[in-house]
Amino acid sequence: MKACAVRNIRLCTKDCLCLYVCPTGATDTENSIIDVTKCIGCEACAKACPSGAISMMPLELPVQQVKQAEVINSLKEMAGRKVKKEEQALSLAKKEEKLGLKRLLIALATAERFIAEDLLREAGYMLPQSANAHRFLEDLIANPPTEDFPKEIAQKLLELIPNNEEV
Amino acid sequence: MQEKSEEKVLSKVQKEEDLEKLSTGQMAALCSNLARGCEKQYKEEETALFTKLASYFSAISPEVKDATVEKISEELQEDLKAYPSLRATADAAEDRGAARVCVWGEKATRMLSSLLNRYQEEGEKMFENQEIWVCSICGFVYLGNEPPNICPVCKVPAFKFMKIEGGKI
Ligand code: SF4
Ligand code: SF4
Ligand SMILES: [Fe+2]
Repeated sequence: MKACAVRNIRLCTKDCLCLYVCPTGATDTENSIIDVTKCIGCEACAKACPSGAISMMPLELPVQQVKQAEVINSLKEMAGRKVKKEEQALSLAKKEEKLGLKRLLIALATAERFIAEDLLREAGYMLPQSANAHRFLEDLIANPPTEDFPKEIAQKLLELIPNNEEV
Repeated sequence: MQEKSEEKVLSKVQKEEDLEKLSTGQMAALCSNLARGCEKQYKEEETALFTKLASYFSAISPEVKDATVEKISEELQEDLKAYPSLRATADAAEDRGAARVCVWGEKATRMLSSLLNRYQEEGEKMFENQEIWVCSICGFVYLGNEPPNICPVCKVPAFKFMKIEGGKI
């Protein structure tokens, strides 16, 4: 499977073996991000790195797990409850003057968002490459929620991200 | 037999398209989830674009006017009551990912509920010399000077915790 090397900057201890072994110079960049246009996926850097900081990211991902409608519905419903509380907590936090409560409300809103994200991930939106994610973006372009919806962003995403379920 | 069960799954999946539209809040979370999906794959530009879409949806979400701490507290209780049936649905479908999200979500929700209840009893003194930390993976909230070494819910290391600042929103 074709893959591209990616470096986890948090794990990188600058031992530089990846610079020594890379046949194309893809690992030698000023921002520590491996140059995808140069990487040929040979894995030499990932094998040499003493810190386990490099992994090989496949260029094509397998299709995500198929979900049942009942599960999707129930997960989305719970996600709806979560974002409702995120919104309530944020609107309260905005005018709250007691610093402790304000922080607690922001924490609550943040947590409910993370929980909602996780629920939606399991509701068929695990991969940005999925047909569901693509359908979501296409629907937004076809039926923009407001007049000033940034269609170009959705369009750009559709261009950049391949649909891995397309036959 | 195999074919038949696949057919069943397909028809169930297709029903999903007739679902009601997601709220703007749900769409914001959907976009920030997809931004994470891109971030994990080290796709910077895509991450930034999905993050922008998420902010767009948050910005167009209608302002909540009648929010109160008591109301949030009640709704957290309702979530806790709703988790078991969500879990049953996940189990009936033998969907381990969905079951997993129930376990984490229920624990994180229980913590939110208990913190809010504690605040209603103790008030501001509950935060004396305490920072508030949120696990960026599961939403577990923790009070303390430092984040826990490992998230008690999803087991990620301390650096995955975000410190909550009260300054700006
Ligand atoms: S070999 Fe590993 S530790 Fe060394 S610079 Fe490369 S990524 Fe970093
Ligand atoms: S996989 Fe090979 S070509 Fe790509 S960065 Fe690593 S050493 Fe260089
Ligand atoms: Fe966690």
